[in-house]
Amino acid sequence: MALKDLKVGNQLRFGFGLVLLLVLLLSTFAWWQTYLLVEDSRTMYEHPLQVRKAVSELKFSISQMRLEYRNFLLSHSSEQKTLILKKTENLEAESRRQMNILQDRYLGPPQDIENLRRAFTNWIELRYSNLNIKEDYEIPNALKRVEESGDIGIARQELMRCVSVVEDFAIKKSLDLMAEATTIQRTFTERLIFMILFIVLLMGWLIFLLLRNIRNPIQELKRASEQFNNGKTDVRSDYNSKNEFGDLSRSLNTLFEVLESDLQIKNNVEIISRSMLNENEAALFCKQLIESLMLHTNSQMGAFYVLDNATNCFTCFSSIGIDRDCCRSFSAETFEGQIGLPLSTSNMQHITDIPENTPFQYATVSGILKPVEMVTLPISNGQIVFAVITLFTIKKYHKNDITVLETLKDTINARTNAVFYLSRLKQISVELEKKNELLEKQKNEVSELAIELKQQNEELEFQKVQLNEANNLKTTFLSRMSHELRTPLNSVIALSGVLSRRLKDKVSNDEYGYLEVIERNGKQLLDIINDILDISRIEAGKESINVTTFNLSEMIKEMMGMLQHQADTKNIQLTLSSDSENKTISSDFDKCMHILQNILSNAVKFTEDGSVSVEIFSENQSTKIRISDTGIGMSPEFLPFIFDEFRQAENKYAKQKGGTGLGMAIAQKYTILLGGTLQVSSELGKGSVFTLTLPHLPSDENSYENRYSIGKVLDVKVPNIQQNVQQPSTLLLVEDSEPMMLQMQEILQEAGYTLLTARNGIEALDSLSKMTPDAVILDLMMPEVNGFEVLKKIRENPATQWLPVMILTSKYVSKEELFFLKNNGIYQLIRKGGILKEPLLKEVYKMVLTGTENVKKPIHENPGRKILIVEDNPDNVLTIQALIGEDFEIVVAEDGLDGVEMSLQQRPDLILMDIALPRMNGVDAMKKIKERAETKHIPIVVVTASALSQDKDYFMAQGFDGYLAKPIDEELFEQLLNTIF
Amino acid sequence: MSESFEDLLCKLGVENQYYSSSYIEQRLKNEMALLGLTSTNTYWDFIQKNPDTRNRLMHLFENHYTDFFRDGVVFTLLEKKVFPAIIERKQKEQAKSVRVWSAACSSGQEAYSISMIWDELRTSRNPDLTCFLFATDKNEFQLEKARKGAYLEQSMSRVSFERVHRYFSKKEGLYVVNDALKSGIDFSVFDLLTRQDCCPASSIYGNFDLIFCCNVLCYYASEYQNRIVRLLDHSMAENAFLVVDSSERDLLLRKGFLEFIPESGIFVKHENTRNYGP
Repeated sequence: MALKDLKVGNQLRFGFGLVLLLVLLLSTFAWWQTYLLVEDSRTMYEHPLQVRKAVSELKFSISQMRLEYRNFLLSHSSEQKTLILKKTENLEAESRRQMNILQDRYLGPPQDIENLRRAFTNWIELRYSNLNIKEDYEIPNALKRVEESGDIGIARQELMRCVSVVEDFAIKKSLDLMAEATTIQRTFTERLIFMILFIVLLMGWLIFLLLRNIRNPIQELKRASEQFNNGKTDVRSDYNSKNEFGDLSRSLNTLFEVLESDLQIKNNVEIISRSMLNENEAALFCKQLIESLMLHTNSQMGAFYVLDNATNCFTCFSSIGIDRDCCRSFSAETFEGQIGLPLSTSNMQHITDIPENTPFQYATVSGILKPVEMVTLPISNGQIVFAVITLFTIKKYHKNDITVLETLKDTINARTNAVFYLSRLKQISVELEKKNELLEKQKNEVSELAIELKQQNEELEFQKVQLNEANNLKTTFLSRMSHELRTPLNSVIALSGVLSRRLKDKVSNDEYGYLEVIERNGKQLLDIINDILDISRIEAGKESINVTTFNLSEMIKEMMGMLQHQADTKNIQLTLSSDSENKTISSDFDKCMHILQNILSNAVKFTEDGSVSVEIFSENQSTKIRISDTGIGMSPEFLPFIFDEFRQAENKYAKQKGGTGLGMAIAQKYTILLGGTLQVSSELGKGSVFTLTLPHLPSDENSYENRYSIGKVLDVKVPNIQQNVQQPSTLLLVEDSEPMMLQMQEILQEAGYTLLTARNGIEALDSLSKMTPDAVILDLMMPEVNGFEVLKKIRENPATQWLPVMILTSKYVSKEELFFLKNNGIYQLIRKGGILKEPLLKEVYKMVLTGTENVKKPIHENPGRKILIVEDNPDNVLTIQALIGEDFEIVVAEDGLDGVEMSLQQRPDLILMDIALPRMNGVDAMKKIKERAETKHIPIVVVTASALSQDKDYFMAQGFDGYLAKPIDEELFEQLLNTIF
Repeated sequence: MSESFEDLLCKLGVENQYYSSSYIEQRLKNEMALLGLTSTNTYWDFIQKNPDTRNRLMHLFENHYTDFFRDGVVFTLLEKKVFPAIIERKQKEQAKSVRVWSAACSSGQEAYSISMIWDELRTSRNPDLTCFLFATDKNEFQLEKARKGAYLEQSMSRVSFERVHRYFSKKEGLYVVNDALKSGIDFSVFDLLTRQDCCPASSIYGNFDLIFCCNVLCYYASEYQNRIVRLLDHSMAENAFLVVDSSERDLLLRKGFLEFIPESGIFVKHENTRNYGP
């Protein structure tokens, strides 16, 4: 166990030192053994081997010497003999040198070498004696000596024997040495194996020891910390040693202890906190709080005191373990008794060593125990302490218990506050609920009332709808009625006109006067109907306004001119005063005229003598027109109703003057439409003053004082069309796009027109200034000077003022632009892509014709012309017949289908078409007629009682060639006929 | 159309008034198959999660596919029969121009194909005639492509090597139509269902000698087919030609149009042969 207690560093050092030592030992041993082996081999090399080598050399030298001797015997020249002798001498010296080596190296007994030397010397001497041969006969003798049995032979054998003794010894010696080396090697291997085994074992044991000493404590520490992590807070490391691991284990244990106690505290805190959250009801909460506090702080008694606001005393709210008598109250004002200090400092107080004579006692089954320590915990709501918790123990509080309380202090505070607030909140909410119920009841009552009101509202709404319907019905009725009334009037007025022309000078003046009365009354009736129509149109919202700038003074002067005659007969003075000579205004020309006409004619009508004066002046950017008369005036009671429909002063005089009572209503409605006001002041018998205020309406284009329009008088688009151009007409084509220009050029030249071309507005105006064509085809969208400007320039120049202009554009034309174009009298607006080739050529043709046909031909030059009248009302047929007179052949069709048939059969030169026809209406009939190749050239003029201006536009757009309103104006009708024939 | 598809269209707020029901159903089915969806309900969920899909769907019903010389037979006939007939007539009438309208040109291939053929005829026969070629489509985006006249290599497959060499130049990997060919065509927006106009504004007065309106009629409901045919008929000059896709032949035959060459889809205008009955 000594090793275990060693420091880890030392353990490692010891282990590795031992390993190092063993390695050193092993290597030393190995070196020693190797050394021994090397020594052995060296001995072997230096002795037996050298000896054997020397012996071999010796043997060789001896053999050589013998050979040389034979050569000597055989040689005849003395020279040769000398040479051989010389050689022999050398060999002898060599032999002696070898014998010296043998003497040095030989390990056997030196006697052997001595013997050898002696034998050699003996042999050599014998040989020398055999050299003295002079004659040949001596040779066989010499040879005989050399033989085995000769003396030299014997000496030689002796020599050879000595050599072989030495040799044998050397061989034997080397074998011995070899055997010795093998033995050394074997023992060395054995020892090495043994030593390695020993070292391995030793090392294994060492490693095992070291591993165990390091791993065991680590595993132990790991186990302990893992278990701790897994919640076994009471686990401790069992490892005990004096080394570092021992230290580590001990400090880990200390850490665990600290953590355990912390966890315990935390745990307690948590349990208590949780228990606090369980209950919201104040009493139960307090009881549970004390209960869990006691349980987790090892207290035996506990009490919860609450500040009673009424007595300003802390009274016991809840307690556990305390005798009933002990729970006395404390005054909050005087910081009385036990709770005094905590109350005044708002801090927890921990009192130890309570004396024996405390009144508190803990009753047990086996007697009374006195508390030893107590803790007082004040609870405040931030301003005052409103509750106190006090705990007692009969033992001593552990440090942890106090920590638990310290930690919990804030939580208890907050939670208790919350619970008490909640209980108060509950109280309040109960009260609120009661109040709410009351309110709910009231609300129900109100909603019942609301439902009733809603029902009433719905009823009213329904009534309103009905009223609107009734109003619409009224408007429609008025419009229908006026239309229906115009139809019979047509006959009355037109025929009375015809009669008065035909019967002039044929009947008596009295009777002729009746006709005049009929005509005048008819016209009056027409005026009334027109008024009704105007009113119904305004009410139906069908009126639109066209803003232009015009000369107001001029307009009023004209009107006064018309009334002058009437004024003169009544001896009334008409005067006009204006703040400027030519007063202009931007407004709707027609409507202004209508308003002023109404007021002025009324003024003249209701004035017997005196004057009617008109003043025009500007005020606040608007124009005021004041019309004052010295007429009958009106009573104040009547003034509020003057602008109502069908109201006229309840006055005999007024009744006598006639009128529908619509004039003022229309005037006022138009004024409102124009954004102005119409005011009146009047005094009965003295006169009235009307003040018309008109604002300047924003005008869309600059100014169109000149209102041009081709065919305005008659609304006839084309006279009869012939298919060939009699004389080549010249057209100016203004078009900026090259391909479009080419396309137009092609078809127009093909049709036989002479073309002038212009690529833009400037070129167009330039061209116009040089030569006036018969008509212009104008594009709108062009660079620099556009079509609008060109058109305006054309109209401004007197030379080109009446030039027909056709607009051919791909631009979408806005309402304002259309208005501009209309006011500048374009012949027609055609959209590129909106027309096909034939109709386009036809339109161009018509345009050229309109421009060139200036001469009116008298009707009477065209006898035998035929007119088809398509009309279902026989009276109207009669009227038209009367108007046409006898210069024409007249054919009548009674409905649309008949009309179509008749047009085919009769081929009339003109068709007058009614719209409201049985079986097929006028528009469809017209289209049918225009579809047929045989009849499509016949001009068709619509004759209708639909007299609205948009009606006219509509009919013209449908394809009618002309328009006549019923009742037919004789003059206009004549003009129409003149244009067509 | 099955109820589920009508329901889907209703949810999408698509008013199916112009296109034929079977066409719409087929397109929706294709779209669903692409997404791997089987029921219209799941498709609707998908559309709600991916608002982009909705826009895609809105354009789905418009088919912009077109190709150079799309129907080889038609263009061969155009070259060998139709244009020669027109030229002969024009020379007899001593007229100066031929007016051609590609009524739904999409990205312009059709118009350029016609233009190429005309150009070749012009150089080979040298008639003293100008060709006004109007190409219109209701989709401004497609028209913009047509005006650019730049096409990918794969769309050039039906254009002969010689034509590619003569009429196109290669720029940044695209084949761009030469300016000369481009300037001969007037591209503009025109909706065949318009009630305002009877022919493209750029042509001023219609009177076309040849109208191409391929693969348009088949997508529309019969009421709108009638309307388009009526518009085309009105804007044709006497003896003019109308070319439709072979799948749309029956429709025109029913309406009493005369086929110029049997089975070709090329019709010739002849007075008093047509009726626009339902």
